Amino acid sequence: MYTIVQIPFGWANCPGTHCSWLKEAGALAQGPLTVAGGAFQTAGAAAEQGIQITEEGLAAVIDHLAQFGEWPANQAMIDRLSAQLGEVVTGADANFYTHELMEANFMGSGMTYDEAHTLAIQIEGVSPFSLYHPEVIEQCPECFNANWRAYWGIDQ
Amino acid sequence: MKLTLELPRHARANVWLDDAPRATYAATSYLGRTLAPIRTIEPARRLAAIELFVPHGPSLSYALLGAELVMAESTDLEVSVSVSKEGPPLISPLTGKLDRVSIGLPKEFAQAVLDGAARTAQELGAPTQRKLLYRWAAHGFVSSSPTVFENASAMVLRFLTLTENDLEAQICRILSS
Repeated sequence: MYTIVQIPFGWANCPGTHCSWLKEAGALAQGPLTVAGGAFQTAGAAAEQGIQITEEGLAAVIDHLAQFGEWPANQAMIDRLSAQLGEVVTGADANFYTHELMEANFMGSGMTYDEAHTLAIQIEGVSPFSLYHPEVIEQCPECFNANWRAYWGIDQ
Repeated sequence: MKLTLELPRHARANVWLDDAPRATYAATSYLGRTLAPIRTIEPARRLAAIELFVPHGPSLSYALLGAELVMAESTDLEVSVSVSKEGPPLISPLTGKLDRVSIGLPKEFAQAVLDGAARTAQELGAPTQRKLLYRWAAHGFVSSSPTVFENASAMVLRFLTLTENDLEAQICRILSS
């Protein structure tokens, strides 16, 4: 299980230029997550092992998303995370949550949206299609194309 | 004439007036509808197009759409949307490296294009005794959706009626509405 140590800025004791945001809860004493080639090896880790939704983290996500304006799929994902506050989430819920925390951190440190979004996806090591839960894709069909439904195996 | 605009909320757009983007494609089919606009607005130009990039955080919306307005015998506005298979990559799309953009308009977005034109015609009015031919398009593998094509379509129809007075300000108002 992963947990957010500090949000959204000033994440402590991580070696990456931009990536000092996430530590394996059970491995704090052993140092930060593995670094290889300058990038954290966190590919899908939060999605697979789970991450706890904290009040602080969720507030940071909501605050970050507000700058982009309304998007029904974002609200649907926020509703899902709010309903799971304090719980450990996996899969698309975890991907969305960690992606937005990273993106907020990177943009807060001066990156453009394009840079922050790209770097967050690279660090997560997940498909862009995995950032929204399939139930949200079904709930907001006008926000997604057929490739999203194909990725999740949703009948078209 | 092509305008490149940086918009609020990290969005950006290219707008073509009396000019067309390099995104022509061969139609494999057409989707059409005849609209009766709430009022007639005289067209000010024959061609208009938009390339739109709107970030949402975890995802983004992208569409490139252009249309031509030609005379018709109908008393209303006939709309025709050219549908195609996926075409070649678009050169230098606004998405940069965030998505793979291909020329053409897949069938899944054609209805949204009609809906966008209908929305403008119903809410604001549109030219009549004309055919509106949507025949320039490009779409993103991840970032295109019915919503962004509906909005792009509604905007293109409005661009066709823009007068020359304070053109950039008018376009910005449309893009932010």
